[in-house]
Amino acid sequence: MALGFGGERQTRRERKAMSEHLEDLLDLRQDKLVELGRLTVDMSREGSFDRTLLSAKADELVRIDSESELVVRGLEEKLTLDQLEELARGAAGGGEPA
Amino acid sequence: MRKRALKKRREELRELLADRREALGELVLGMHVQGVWDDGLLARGAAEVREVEDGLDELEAGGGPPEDREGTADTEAPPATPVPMPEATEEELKTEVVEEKDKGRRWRRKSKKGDDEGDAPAESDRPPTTESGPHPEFETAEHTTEHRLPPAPVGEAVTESAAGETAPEPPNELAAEPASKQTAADTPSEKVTEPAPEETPPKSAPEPADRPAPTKPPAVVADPGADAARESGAQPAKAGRAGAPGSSRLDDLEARLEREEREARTGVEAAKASVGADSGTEVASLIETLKKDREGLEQALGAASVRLADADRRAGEASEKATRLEVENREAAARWVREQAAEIEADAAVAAELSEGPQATPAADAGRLRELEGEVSSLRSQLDDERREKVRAIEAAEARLREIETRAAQVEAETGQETAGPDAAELREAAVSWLRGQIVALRREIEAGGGRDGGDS
Repeated sequence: MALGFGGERQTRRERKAMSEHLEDLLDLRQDKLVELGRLTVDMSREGSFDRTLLSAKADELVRIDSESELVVRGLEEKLTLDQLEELARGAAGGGEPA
Repeated sequence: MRKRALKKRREELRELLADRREALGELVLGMHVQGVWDDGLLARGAAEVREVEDGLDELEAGGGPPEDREGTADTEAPPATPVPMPEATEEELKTEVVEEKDKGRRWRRKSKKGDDEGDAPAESDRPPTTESGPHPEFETAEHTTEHRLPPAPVGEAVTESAAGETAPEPPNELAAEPASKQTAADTPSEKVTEPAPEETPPKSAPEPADRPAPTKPPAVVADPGADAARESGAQPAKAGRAGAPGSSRLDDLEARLEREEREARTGVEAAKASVGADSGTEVASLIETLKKDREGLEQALGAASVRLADADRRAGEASEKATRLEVENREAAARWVREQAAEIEADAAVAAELSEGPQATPAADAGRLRELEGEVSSLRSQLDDERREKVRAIEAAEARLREIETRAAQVEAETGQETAGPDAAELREAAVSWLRGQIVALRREIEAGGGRDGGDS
């Protein structure tokens, strides 16, 4: 569903920036996943899982996923950066970008 | 070539480790998102990752280029000394790998017991997973093709290896086939016992079935004679290997890696199965939730239908009540109209009786009397007016008469002196008489009228 912003179009530079940011987010997500797996293995060696710490790490991933979805939406709907920022502030509410 | 294979192997293990860590992270993320934590599943996934980690550590501790090592492997690993591998030794290793294709499980048990000698992977047990796909070193000519050498070249290789102080190898088919066990148990007792590997000349090399396999598990051969032959044959093999310590170590490492890889794959399969089971459980829970939701919706629908029927019933009752009230109102209105009509009729009847009956109300009589008195007074005034006019007329006539008499006397006086005659006097007398008669008649008439008015009033 389009936002319905009138008159403003996504520039090529904005699109490139979004694509690069999306790639960064995906790399960051993979790194965080590997880190989370390593942390889980360490906890397994110690014999107990700290769910609070695991949840905190997983929450970072959830936020990265949310931001990735937002950027993907911006790319699909060809939103400008201002529109994307407005969308992020309006939709995410308390969520902060990773 | 071996170093290259090991390096490739290490790279694959690193990739596998990264993939498993990532998969474990995904698992933790899924648990966090769903809010359902399963420590058993976490422990299982962590164990799988640890297996790969251990395999990688062993690989890096066992050998490889120093620049590729990482972590504690640098301190634990012995210095990597590139050992030139004799052709015969490599052939032996490859043949052992081929031999153990059908004995993967036995070798796994053996390796678990700590016997790393001759540990080789069983590629036939490797599941055709996507992870096993990127292992090209087993499909290269270095391994696969050379492993499928016919027995005759192996014999030649054995000859060469014997020259190179290596033990002869049995062919795979004969060592693996149960039917050939008996022959293998029979013939070695006769032939293998006599030649020592060190003493056996290459030209008189025994048949491949006669040669004992140094890495062959003891459970395969049940014949004591064969065992004896095996023991006697194993010594030269060990001695031969002792001559090439680098290759044996690499062989052990490779075998251990293969074992770890098999275990890791088994773990992956178990994880996949567990994921499938978890997904099945999740689907079942979803179905259960859907059923509960459906039941709730059906209950709500039933309650809504009951309320709807109740509302319909109330609406019907209200409609009936409204109709009943309307009918009652109509009846009341008709009754009121009828009462009003009756009252009007009664009033009309009373009015008719009053207008027709002899009895008059005092008020009506008073009104009528007043009207009559008015008429009488008006008539009296008219009569008085007429009487006064007549009196005035009589007075005017008497005055006229006296004037006429006076005039007539004057005229007689004037005319008597001039003309005296009897006829003129008589005419005057007649006129006076007529006038007097007129006046008398008029007086009588007035008197008659006044007497009649006085009698009427």
